[in-house]
Amino acid sequence: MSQLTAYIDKTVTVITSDGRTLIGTLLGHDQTTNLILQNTRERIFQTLDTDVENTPSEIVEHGLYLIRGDNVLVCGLVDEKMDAEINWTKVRAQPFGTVKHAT
Amino acid sequence: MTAKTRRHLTLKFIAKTLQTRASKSPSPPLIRFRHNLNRAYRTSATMLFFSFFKTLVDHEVTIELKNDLSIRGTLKSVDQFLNIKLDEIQVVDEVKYPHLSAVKNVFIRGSVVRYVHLPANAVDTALLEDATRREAAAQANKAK
Amino acid sequence: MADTENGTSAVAEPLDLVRLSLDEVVFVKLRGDRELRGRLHAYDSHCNLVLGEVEETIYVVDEDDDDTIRTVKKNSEMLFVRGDSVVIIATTT
Repeated sequence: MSQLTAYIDKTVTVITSDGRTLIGTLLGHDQTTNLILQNTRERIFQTLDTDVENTPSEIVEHGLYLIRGDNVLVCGLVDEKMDAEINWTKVRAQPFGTVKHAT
Repeated sequence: MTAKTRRHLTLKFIAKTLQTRASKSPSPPLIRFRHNLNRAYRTSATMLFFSFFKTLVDHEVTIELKNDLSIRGTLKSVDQFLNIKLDEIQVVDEVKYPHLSAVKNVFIRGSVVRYVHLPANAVDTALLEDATRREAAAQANKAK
Repeated sequence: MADTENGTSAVAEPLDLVRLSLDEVVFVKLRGDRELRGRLHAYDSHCNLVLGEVEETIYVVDEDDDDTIRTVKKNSEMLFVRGDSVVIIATTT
């Protein structure tokens, strides 16, 4: 059994190789870590030196997403209760570096 | 018949058709030889580290990714691609990287790992070196 | 590969040099301006490695100080290194 099967139909956070953070319900996956996310949202964080009271971090709706496995860095199981307690528009973050793949 | 069972049966049928088709079409000896060779390599090439990581299950490790993100957690499982699942995770610099603040359990794709920091007392270095020599010898034999 | 027939100690291919470095201190150059020095405990054909008592050196360009090169040192008691980052494995004397 594949390791991601345990996350199916649950909310996950996916960090991609271009540094984006996507949240959605994991509908499916395969051997190469291709992922299908439903009700996908992208969290676009303001940088650490931003005043988030005036310019809050954004949440953008994307709908159904298929993410190619090569671009997946991390797929984390979201603890819904912990997630609901965080006001994500007020969270700042340092942008991730991008990952170039070895040829 | 529910939609779910119908889908299940359809998939089963497709799988079976592909299987019988594959076994019926006689592949030329050379292709079959190459196929077997590839299979042998694929199963053994990463076996050493796959087995090694399996001995580290339930140990605390820190995984550093190629995007410089470091995640500490308890190693829960590993697969043949060295994809890793960690439990009770903590991002090392959480002030900078709060993205996983509501996440306790992660799947990390093997290909994006730079390092895995391991507890030295969980590694039997003499045993590991022997296993490495055995693997190298097995590879050399296969190359002949 | 005919050369491999005369025993396992022969050097017939590049990775055989690495085999002879097992349990020795090696120097490893990595992608991303990183270098490692540590005792080699394991490797495979992908150049995945396990090193013990590792010192890592990272070279960083300091943009605040006229683009001078700064080094950052880190230590690790036991380290798995993914092979696709490895550029050079060298023996040390």
